[in-house]
Amino acid sequence: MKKTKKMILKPLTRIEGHGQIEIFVSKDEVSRVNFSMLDYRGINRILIGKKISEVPRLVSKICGFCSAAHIVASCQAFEKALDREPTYASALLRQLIMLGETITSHMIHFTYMALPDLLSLASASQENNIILNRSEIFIKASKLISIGKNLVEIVGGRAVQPVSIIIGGMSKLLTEKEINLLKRNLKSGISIIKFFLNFTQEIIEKIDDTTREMFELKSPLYMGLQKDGSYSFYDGSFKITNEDRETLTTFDVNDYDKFIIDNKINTSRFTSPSIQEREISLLVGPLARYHVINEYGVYEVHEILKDFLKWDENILFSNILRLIEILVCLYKGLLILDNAEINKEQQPVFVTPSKVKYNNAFSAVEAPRGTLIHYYSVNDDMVVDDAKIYVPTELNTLSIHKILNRTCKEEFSNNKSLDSVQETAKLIVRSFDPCISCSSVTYRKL
Amino acid sequence: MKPKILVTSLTSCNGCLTSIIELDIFPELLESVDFIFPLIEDNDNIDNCDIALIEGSVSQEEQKEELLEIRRKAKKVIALGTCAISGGITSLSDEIDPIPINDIIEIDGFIPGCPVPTEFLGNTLMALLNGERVKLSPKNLCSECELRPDNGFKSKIKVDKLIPEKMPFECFLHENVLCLGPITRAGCKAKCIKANIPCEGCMGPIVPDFMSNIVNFFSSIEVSEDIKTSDIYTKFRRTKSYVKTG
Repeated sequence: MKKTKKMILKPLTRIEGHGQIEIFVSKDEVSRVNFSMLDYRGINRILIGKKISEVPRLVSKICGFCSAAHIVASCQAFEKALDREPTYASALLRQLIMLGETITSHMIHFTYMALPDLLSLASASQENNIILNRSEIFIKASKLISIGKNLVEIVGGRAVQPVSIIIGGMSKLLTEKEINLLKRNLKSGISIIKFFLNFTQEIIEKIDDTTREMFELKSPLYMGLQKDGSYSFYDGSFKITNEDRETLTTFDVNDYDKFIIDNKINTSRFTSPSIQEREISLLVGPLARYHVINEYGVYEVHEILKDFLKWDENILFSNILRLIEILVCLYKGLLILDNAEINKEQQPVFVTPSKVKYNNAFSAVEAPRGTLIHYYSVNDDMVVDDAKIYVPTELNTLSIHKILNRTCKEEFSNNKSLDSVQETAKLIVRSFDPCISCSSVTYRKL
Repeated sequence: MKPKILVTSLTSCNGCLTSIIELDIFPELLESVDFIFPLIEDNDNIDNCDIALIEGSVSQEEQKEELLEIRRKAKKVIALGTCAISGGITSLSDEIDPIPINDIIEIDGFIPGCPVPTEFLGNTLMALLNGERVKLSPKNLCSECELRPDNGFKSKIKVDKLIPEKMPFECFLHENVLCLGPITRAGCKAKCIKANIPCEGCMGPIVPDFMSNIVNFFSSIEVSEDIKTSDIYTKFRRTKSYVKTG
């Protein structure tokens, strides 16, 4: 009789939220590996029946790491529904908050999850415990986390779950003093992040080819927001590219559900035979953003990236790209703070929603972990009739599963060690930086 | 010997956990404290510890077991944030029923806020490490609010909106906007109000008997019929009681 042994790794606590990995072993091989979320909070459903003015605050409670992305996405959707654009200064301030959140979120992931993993993969194990030993490196990382936090706090009113982003604009403007303080802060971050880029490049170069191969994605499709080919996290349109950087399609945010159904590609929208043939996995996040854009808008970033060409399809490369994005965020932040328009308004603009023009609205932003989509159906009383929130981790589900299964099976057939399969499985899941808090919006047994 | 702090996250957004990581004193704390922290290691063992900080509410059977085990192993158990204290945001759900941790185990204190304000959290952690109890302000938010009226509240306060329509020049309540400052505990330095957003009450009530507190407050102000039946009603309405009109 065929006997299947199930091994459950849980809880995985070195990720955002609660997840588990199940490894099924039958006879002498790993037959299946599953990654699943262990929490359900159903914020999606809570939103139904609420006035739109309540929603930004409610969605900020979806996730403690990327609340600004959720708040901005909800405000943008309602602004579309009301046909009311936020002022230019408001848009700049919102972007500052999102940049701060990205810096903090990426740096927390890098410090607590990625760096220890990369060090162990590069067999530099003596340096493995950098966090608990409070090394110089950890102090530097904490400084960057703090720079991001201060940016969110000063522009957003609070460090975690900012409150100043409201439908129609911003409730708080920046003073000259705050602008100068933030400029100093961001400038001081540039040398730190460059240190981390060099440091991490040295580590990643020590990773051998066999290990690197384990983290190869094998031709997923990359999806992300972009604006005329440039890096954009606040607005723009969607682009989907393949492994050869060919653009398969670009589409408007409003058409999201025509192209992506149930977090998967709607194959009927694509003419390319290669898409019809296989089960296509989609990837969003730093690696996907890297693939869908032509430029980050910061020249020196592209110089650094030239050293990583062989890592193009590797999920571990996301770790370098998170650092690259932090550098881009620092420069972009400085550019915004230098923009005279930022405090041209005398007073913050409050909008009292009075009339819904479009009853259905989609919005999308790039959250730290990837493309985040909000959809609302709003009735004429400004009440939400339906809400759907599509989060990056769910869009990445198939990609995570594919690589988990392929690599764990190979690992077991090579080493026959379940311990190493377990370790590998954890490393893979963490390299995607999954966010279970966000995924607990809706429930999906994977 | 270093004190040992266990940090655990139940059903939550991880916002209180983020607040701990983002503390300016976190690097120093890591040096002086033996932390068992979710993001730092995959921990499934609950060790003996001096202080357990628990974020999130209970929404699964397994979490009850986990809590009981923590209670057995920890000298002090502290509820961290609104979800752990009273259920938090998911209390609005009609699908899950979040249980405050205090309903399952006895706790030795709580640090309120959604999420816990960083400065208040930092000070409280230092106090706990010195063997003190969690010190909560006995005053209301108005005591630390810059918009507090110098000569006390007007005798007749009328409220007809939940969301301000302009930047406030005086107390939100004097500008007819509902602000829960008078019945909310101080400790957050009124950060939302500084950002021109009225208090939503996330620091929780000052007195244990919150119901009489809130009833007194609402009987002392005049709330327009319109927001009673519309804005305030929809704010707390459960999804299942909502019938789509469109």
